[in-house]
Amino acid sequence: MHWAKNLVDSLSHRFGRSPVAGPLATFVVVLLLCLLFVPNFGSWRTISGIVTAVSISGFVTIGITFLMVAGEFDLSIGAMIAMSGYLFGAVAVGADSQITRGLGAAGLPVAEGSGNLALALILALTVPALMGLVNGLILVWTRIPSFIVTLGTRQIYRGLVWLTSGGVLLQTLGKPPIFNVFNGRFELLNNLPLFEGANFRTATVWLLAAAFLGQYLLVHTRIGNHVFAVGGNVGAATAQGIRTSRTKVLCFVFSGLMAGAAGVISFSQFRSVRVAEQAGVELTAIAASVVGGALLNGGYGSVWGALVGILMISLLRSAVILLDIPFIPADNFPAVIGATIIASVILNNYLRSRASG
Amino acid sequence: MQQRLYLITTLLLVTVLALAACAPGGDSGQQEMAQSEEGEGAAAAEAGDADGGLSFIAVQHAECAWDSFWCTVQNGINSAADDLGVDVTILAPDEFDLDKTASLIEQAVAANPDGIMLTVTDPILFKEPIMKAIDAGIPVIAYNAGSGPIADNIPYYTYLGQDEYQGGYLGGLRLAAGGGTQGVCINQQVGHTGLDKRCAGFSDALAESGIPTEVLAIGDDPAEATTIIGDYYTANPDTDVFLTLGPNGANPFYVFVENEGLTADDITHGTFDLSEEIKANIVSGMTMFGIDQQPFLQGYGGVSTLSMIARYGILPALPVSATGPGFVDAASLASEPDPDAPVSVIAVQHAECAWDSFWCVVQNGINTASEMMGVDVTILAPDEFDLDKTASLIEQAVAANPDGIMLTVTDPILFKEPIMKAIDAGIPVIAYNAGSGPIADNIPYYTYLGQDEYQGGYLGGLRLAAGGGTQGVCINQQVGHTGLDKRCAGFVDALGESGIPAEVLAIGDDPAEAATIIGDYFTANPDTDIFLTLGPNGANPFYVFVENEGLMADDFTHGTFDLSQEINANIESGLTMFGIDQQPFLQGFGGIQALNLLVRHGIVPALPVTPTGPGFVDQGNLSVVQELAGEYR
Repeated sequence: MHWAKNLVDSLSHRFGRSPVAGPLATFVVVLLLCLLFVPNFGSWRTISGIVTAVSISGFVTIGITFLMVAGEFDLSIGAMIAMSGYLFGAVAVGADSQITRGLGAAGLPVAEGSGNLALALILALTVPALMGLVNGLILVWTRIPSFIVTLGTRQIYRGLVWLTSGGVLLQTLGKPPIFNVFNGRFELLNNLPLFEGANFRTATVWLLAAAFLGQYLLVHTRIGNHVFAVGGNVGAATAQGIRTSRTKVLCFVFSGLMAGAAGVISFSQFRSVRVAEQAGVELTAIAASVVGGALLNGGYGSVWGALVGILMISLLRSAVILLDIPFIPADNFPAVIGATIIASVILNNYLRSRASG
Repeated sequence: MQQRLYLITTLLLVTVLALAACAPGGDSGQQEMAQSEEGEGAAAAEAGDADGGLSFIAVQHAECAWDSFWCTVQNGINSAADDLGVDVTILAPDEFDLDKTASLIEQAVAANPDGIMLTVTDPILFKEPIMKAIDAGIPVIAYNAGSGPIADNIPYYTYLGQDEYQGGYLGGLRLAAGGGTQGVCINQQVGHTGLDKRCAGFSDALAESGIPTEVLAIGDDPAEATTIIGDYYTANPDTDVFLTLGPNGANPFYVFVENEGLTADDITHGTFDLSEEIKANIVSGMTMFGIDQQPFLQGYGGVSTLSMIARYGILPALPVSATGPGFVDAASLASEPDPDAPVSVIAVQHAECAWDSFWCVVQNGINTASEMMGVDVTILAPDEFDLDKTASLIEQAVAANPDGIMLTVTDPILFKEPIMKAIDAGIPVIAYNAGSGPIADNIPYYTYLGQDEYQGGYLGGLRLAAGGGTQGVCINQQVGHTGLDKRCAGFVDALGESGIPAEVLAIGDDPAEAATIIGDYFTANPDTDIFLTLGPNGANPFYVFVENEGLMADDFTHGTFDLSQEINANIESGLTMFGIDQQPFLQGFGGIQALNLLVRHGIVPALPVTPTGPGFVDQGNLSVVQELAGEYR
């Protein structure tokens, strides 16, 4: 038995200091409980559903985690997703939209009926990144807290989407094959023997790629260290010669970029975008980051933890619906999710204090 | 002077801009047009004939020649035929004879007109001939006599007549507005459904103001009735709000008032219907109003409704289209109808065709109606979404002093002040497309033309449940949004009537998440086979769920609010039974029609909300809708 205790000790020593440890432990425990007690939970249909549900919000959560580690928020990302969706959708298929006509008139290589995929991707990723840049610049120039700055741009950006799109729903029936690359059915996986009922999508692969990229940037690069430093203690970071303003602005740009990616992924599957697209996703993302171990006041958090967090929320949602609790009607299950978010943060705090104590 | 010149220039400019933007048929709808080309191109031939000459037949159980009531109805029919450029033939027996009326319906069917309007005086006797018309594909609507397609059990489109409950309710609100201690509804025929509904509405309205009410049954003997009312008053001396249900309730009431020596300061009184005696008492101030079923509107509205169906495939929203209550008070008695008066209308809206294609359809409705009815109309809208600017445009409109203003009540708080300026200046105001009705908006404009959300859910639910089912779910992407919640409430009620349990499933704004939620719900409730979604962004993840689960059209029934390319394609393939349209063309057209009737004929809109939707789009009329998309739909 001695070796077992050693193993646990060494694991908890090495792993316990990682921000992902607490959330992951909780996640595994809840997952096991669900597999044991929730009817219909242990099926590929349910598991793939839980994973697929975060295929859009997951990107946003990665971006928000950068900001939260740096001690900031961005409440305007929902509008960025909408902007990205419109730009990508309209330009990629050359839809009948004022976006296509406007860009065509400006001399860009796109017209109604003849889309331009490269241009669509460039616009869908850079415009939200620029929107993030503006958020960051306002923050560092005015020193107004990011909560307030982005509360303002949250409305302004919706207005901007409204003007860009003409206020109309954009929906296309045509589906270029590339859409299936970004977010099609992942038949390679779904058709495996024993994977009956699975509905995995290729978006999950892209999300994992984004997570690896985010984790690499945050943990293995100097800029990542700076992000932790400015979020932990701005004064100390400045004293060490870190350009805190630039670091924060970069976090906003990265968050915008992730929102842009979310817009591309979303349109690739649903081929539909409207002005109010993804209203409220910012709160889900913040909740996911916090469930995943990030601290609201900065300096602590991880990309993997955030992904575990968003998966945790998705898992709980599926579990609550599948339980079909008689006294909780189907229009009220979000309240249960809310309660469990608070519970899991309490648990995280407890585990973190034990690990550091 | 300079201001005036500036105003006129602005009006001109805006009109020119709006026209220019709409002239090429609007830049909207092209996608849908293109789409319908690959479908049935000849679809518009069945209906949706936007320009062709139309001929209708009206069959009624009485006529002007021997019953003067019907002169007003026929006047309405002829006036509408003139305005809308259609032919209407009126058929009626030369004395009251239901068998003869039934055979006149058969005669009308044989003539194969573009539409038939008729009085459903006897739903049992008339069912067979009416079914012949419906089976022959002739659109049928009822006017003046009938109870609506559901109550009559005959699937005609709608019945144009008085909404009795609303008459009592809205009358009660008016009577209680000045306060009161106790109310009484004097009912000369307790047990008569229509009269009981009037009293129920009255009681409900007074209860909202905290005023208790009772129903007092009187008989047919006026002397006896006078005594009964007097005795009741002696026993309940606090009674100060009185409603009578017609001339033979009002008549003994006036004797009672004289007996007791009461004056207009002591009590408030309203009544249904008009008589010379009632009119005299309205003028003297003793009686606040008489409630009119507006027979002119029954005739006019019938013809207008049939042309909407035949020309544009626009269906009446509700089983009963209310022509009354129309309130006649001292002011309206003083004004004389002037059918040839010039009418100028200013429409103020928060968006316009030039930059939002949805509005091209609304504006086309406005322009089509104003052209047909000879109404001079100017449309004002800001050049981008800007509520403050819209509010100042309303002020501009008031300053121009038109005969009527129609506007979108996009923000009832912000717009209240400018709208009140118009109302205080005596300019009739109605709302269209955006608003909640004068009561909910707390602005006393006449009516709001828009979708009735509860009825949309309810009537949708009835259709979905018609083929049976085990369990229903209303997929709501924004629980807490009043309009969406009402849709679900109507759906749940409709299924409940068929004994099918239904509940509301909350989904979020994230489509990926929503698809999973629907899937999980279905796994937990595998008996679910009736689905209602509340718009394209509920339908969108629903279709993903259907694909994931590998469900087929036979496994479930699905209906949705609104239309989109995706929804249209699924209606066509049979996966979705219908999409519910708010019919924006009707919002514009109906707005002009309401103001035209108000200014020229003194016809007041019956209800605070005049529903333009739900308009159901299914496989039967999808091709018409697509053909006319962007212009009329």
